[in-house]
Amino acid sequence: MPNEQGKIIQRRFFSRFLESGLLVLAVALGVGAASSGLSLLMYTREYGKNMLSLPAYREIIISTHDNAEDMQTPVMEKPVQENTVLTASDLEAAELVPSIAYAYVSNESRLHFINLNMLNMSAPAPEDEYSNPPQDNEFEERRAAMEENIKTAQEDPSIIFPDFEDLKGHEVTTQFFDAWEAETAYGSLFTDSDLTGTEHLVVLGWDTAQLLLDEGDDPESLLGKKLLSVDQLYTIVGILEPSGQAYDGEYFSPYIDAAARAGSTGGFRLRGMDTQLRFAVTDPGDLDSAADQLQEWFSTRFGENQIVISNPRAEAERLITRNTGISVLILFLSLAGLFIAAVNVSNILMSRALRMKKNVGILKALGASRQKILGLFTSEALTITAGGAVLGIFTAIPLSNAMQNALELRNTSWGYILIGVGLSWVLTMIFSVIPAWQTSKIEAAQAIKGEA
Amino acid sequence: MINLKKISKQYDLGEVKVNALKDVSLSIERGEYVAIMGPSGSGKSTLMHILGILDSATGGEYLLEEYDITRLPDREQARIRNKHFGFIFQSFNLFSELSALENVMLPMSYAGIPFKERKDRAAGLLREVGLDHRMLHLPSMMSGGEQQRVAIARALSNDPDLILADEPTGNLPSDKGNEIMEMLEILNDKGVTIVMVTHNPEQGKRAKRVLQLRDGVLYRDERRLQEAIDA
Repeated sequence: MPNEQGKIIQRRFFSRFLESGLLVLAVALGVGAASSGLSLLMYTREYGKNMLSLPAYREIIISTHDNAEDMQTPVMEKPVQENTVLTASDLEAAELVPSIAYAYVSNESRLHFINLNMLNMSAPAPEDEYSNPPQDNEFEERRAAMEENIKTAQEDPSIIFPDFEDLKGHEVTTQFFDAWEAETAYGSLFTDSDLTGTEHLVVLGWDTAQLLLDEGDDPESLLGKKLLSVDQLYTIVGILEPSGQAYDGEYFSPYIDAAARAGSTGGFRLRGMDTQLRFAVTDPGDLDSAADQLQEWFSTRFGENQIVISNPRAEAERLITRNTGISVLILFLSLAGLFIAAVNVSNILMSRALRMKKNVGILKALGASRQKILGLFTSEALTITAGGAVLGIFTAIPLSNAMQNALELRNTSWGYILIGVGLSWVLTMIFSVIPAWQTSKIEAAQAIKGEA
Repeated sequence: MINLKKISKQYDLGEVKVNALKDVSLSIERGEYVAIMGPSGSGKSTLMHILGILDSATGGEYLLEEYDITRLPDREQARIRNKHFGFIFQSFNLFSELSALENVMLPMSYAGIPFKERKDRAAGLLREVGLDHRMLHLPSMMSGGEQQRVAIARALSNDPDLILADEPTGNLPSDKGNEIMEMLEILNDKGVTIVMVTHNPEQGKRAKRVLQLRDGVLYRDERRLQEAIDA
């Protein structure tokens, strides 16, 4: 409970509720804007730093498609225009570039499961023009084969029937695991000898394994189990340790070269489908020179302009530089807002203190030291700025989220918002203490005489 | 108790320098009842503020119990004002946000007296000045006479050695002013030293000693004259 001196300020605060409320609001807006600006800049820097530390940003991607990542469109719908076909044998380019530590193939792929729901699949309605291919014998034959497969699979306890339709993953060669420092929590990784296409293996990311597990089951129980896709039966040989990276939610199967694939029963990946080659360096500073050397090698091998070389790091750095610039501008504007708010709050507090000038003289006559007077008015400033800072958090959160979304940065940076609020509050508090400091220096006699 | 030696106070107003007090020397003993009189601008209030350490002299020495208090740090001067002096002002100067009880408790909070003790003591003082029925009232709900009685209770809260009263009846009707004067006399009879600034010659006569100021100069000290005649 405040003492009598504190009660004076407390009751003045509430008796001028509208004025006090506006002061708190002004601080809240200033602190909210400045803290979201500060947190945005700090988060942008951290996000950029973390992003560039990922293995994906120490790689050069070689592909024949302009958009090297665009592999999700069903292959049958993708027009194949290029004549150049990359194969795993082209990874030998790495031998000519000493700075390249790992070279591997990585193609986006998807496992489409055959599951029990498919047995209930009815024939498409005749009036459905889009999805209704002609009902010919081929459709019926495929359906019959599928039913047969499912019935057979149901009798095999080692086959898993997931309750979802498909899984996203990559077909990779073995150096992928080295480049991404991916290790197994259970089971093992596949090896070069598994790239022949004779046996279809799959290594699951940690989150993918959790999706396939029944509640309470040990992840290790998945080892040796099989996944029935529309083209293959895949055997689970390993589960990767959780990494916090995107691949936790994926699967990895051995990349099978076109030659081997031609002889396999699957044949899902056709000849024209793009293969991505990835070359990873240890020191990101070597990326540019490595890219130049690879460009030369592939130009010699396939001719000019036949392949696309992508350097994700350079793209990421451009994005980070742009985002940092925008963040600095936002920070500058928000700090200007905070400064204006703080100066106004300081002026209004000074005006409130001057209205109490005579009271300051009386308090001194009654025994208040300069320090006590300073404490009195500082407590008022503290109440207003702390109230504003708390409200500022609620202003900063949506503001910060909106700005992060605009810059395509995910997650809410709570820690940075709180640091931003703290720093902005300290700044506002400094401005607010100035009137308290000046008021504490008022001479008692002058204060009493001046208004007496 | 108090010994002022050649106290002067000069206000610097840019090109003009105003001498509010010129070499004022006087001593005040415990238990005295002193009235400071003089026309407006004679330096009465300035002298009173210097006596109460609310203002500092630009020349001379102020000895309180033989100590030169003008050289003490702010915190120590504040402690002396709190523990040894009590102030009564013409316009009462109560805090409008605080009740009568809280106004009286305020100086005791600076002395570090616990809440319960200061509340009990403040209630006792308000009873002494006849305001036991007004303890929880705000100053705005009280008459001028009642407010000044609260101010007297406040001045007495830390049991001071010296009461400094600046025109204590200036804003009161004569009957209420008389009540206040009687209270001060009772306090003086109990041994409290009183220094009062007044314009009113009648009130001046009720003091045991009258100091007359003109243009910042102490030109008459009536007790001294009486003592000289007695001698």
